[in-house]
Amino acid sequence: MNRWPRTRAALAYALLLAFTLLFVAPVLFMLVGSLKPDDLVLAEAGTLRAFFPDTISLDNYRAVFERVPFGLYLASSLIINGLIVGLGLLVNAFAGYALARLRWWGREAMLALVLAVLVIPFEAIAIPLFYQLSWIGWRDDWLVQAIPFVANPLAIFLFYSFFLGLPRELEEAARVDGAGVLRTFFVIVVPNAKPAFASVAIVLFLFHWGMYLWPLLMTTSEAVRPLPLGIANFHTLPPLQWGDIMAFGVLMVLPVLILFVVFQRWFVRGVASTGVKG
Amino acid sequence: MAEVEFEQVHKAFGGHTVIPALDLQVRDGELLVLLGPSGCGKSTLLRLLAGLEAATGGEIRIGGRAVNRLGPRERNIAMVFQNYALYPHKTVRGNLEFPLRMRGMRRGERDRRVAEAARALGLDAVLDKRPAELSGGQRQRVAMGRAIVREPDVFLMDEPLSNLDARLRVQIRAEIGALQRRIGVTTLYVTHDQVEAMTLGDRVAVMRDGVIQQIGPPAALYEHPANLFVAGFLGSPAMNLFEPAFEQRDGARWMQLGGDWIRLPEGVPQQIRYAGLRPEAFAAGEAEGEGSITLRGEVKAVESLGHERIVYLGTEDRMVEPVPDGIGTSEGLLAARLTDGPMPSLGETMTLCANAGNIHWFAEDGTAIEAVDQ
Repeated sequence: MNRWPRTRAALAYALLLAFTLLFVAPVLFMLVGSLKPDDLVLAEAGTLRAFFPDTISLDNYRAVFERVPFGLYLASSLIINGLIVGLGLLVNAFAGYALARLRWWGREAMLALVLAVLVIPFEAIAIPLFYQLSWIGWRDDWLVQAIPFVANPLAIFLFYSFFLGLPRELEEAARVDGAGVLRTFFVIVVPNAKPAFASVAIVLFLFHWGMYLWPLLMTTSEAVRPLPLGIANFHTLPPLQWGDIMAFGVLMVLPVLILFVVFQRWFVRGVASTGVKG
Repeated sequence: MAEVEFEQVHKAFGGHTVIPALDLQVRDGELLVLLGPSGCGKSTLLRLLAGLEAATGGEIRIGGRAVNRLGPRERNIAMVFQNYALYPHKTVRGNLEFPLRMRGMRRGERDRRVAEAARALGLDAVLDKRPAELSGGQRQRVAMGRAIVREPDVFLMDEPLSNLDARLRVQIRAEIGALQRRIGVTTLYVTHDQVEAMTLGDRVAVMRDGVIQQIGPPAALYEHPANLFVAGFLGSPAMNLFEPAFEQRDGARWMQLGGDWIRLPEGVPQQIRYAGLRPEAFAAGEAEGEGSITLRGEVKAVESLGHERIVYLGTEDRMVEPVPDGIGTSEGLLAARLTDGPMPSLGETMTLCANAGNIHWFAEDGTAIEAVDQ
């Protein structure tokens, strides 16, 4: 009698597993490839050995640090993304709050504009932006790689919709209790918007960690180049060592994974509605 | 503590007027209840006083000082919200001391006031808990506490009991009344619940469409409603409102009610159109004597409350009820509150009597007309 639902569940799990494998396989391939001697990476690529190493060595990782200034790339990437995420949280949260809560002339038009900008791909404005900034002579530093990406329409929209869902009475109570707009924002709104801040931090970080085109256009010195340019450069350095490239790839993915694990708990946490009944 | 005055206060949202031109004085230390159906503008009035909305016209004064241009924090008012609006990320202590922190009060004084409020409201044991860990009643008390620690000039309460269950509501209602009397702060209390209004208010202002229909002590409003709306809104079940036929003959005025023509006493004015009788004005049985009237009808429903029963009769009389735009026909059932006599059964014909002196008279436009004793 119960067989049909069970079969359905088994099918669903099989499907989920298949998709999971599909997504995990390249990452696993990269991880395993980074741990074995270079000549085996391609030799074993078509076999199951590609996913189960028989020998483990960290030689490839050592090679990455010896062959390119990996630390420099990593530092640049962390500084650029730190600026984008740090400033981005502040600026986009302010913008989202102003759109959701404050009354000002042109608010609706601005909201429509933010939504419209959401669909324009960066590649479409990259060249004009490049000319604009080159014209004022701003090139080849960390800031120029970060500042154009601080204000982000998706982040503004995420904050905007989250703030709309916060009970307005919390802010009104704070105003009656004597807090001004800024104090209300920092003391009442921000602590109750942790899930939104976590989501936006992850979105901004993910968007820009792998950014390639803009740094390529804007930088010439090795000292300010981020990891994606580093790995591209690494790829062109003879001899072509796939094991080293895999190791570089793993090192590049690691910060993203760490960030995700740290912020994950705020992702799943519910919206702050506990103090308000109804 | 302070007197609150609204003078010709007007409020419109876009082109929609919510409060046309309102005058109201709340005396120092008084608990005034704003009562009315939802959408009547009572909460808007409270928000205008709090500074959460700006008036589009007129003047609002607290303690003689015009506050129209002041923000909420400069008005020295405290507000209890319908959903309490406790800060979820702060403990009870954090919630209570927030308004004091915002005023830059020193720590010693802050702690003293928080401890005092917590003691008064029985919150000592939960000071370090967060709102999510509290019961509904405790949350309500924290909201009250956050209002009293400030020692404000005016308390504003926006339906503070509507999220509590019936039993707790009665208890907290009594606590609010006692607290307000003890500290004597001028209080505006908004509710749509007439029982809250009648039990709590020193005075009650009944509102409809942004206009105060009548203001006065609860008993006065109940006994002498100024118009059909107040008559119909106060009391549960509502006042029975009849639209009887009138006739002039034999040098007297006659009214047809309950199938009988009743000779009206001399003092009843000419322009009456509607007659109202409260459910408790009826007794079971035939009328005896001149000044009484008799009504008959089929028993449609009986609600037994133990110490009394409410009987609903379908009568031949034309009955009306106040509706938003004026007067409409009612479902036509007459409600009578009876304390003695046999339990009526459904479908039986019942006879009720009432003293004609208990009839409330209303003119065509709904305003009450007092009968003059001759």
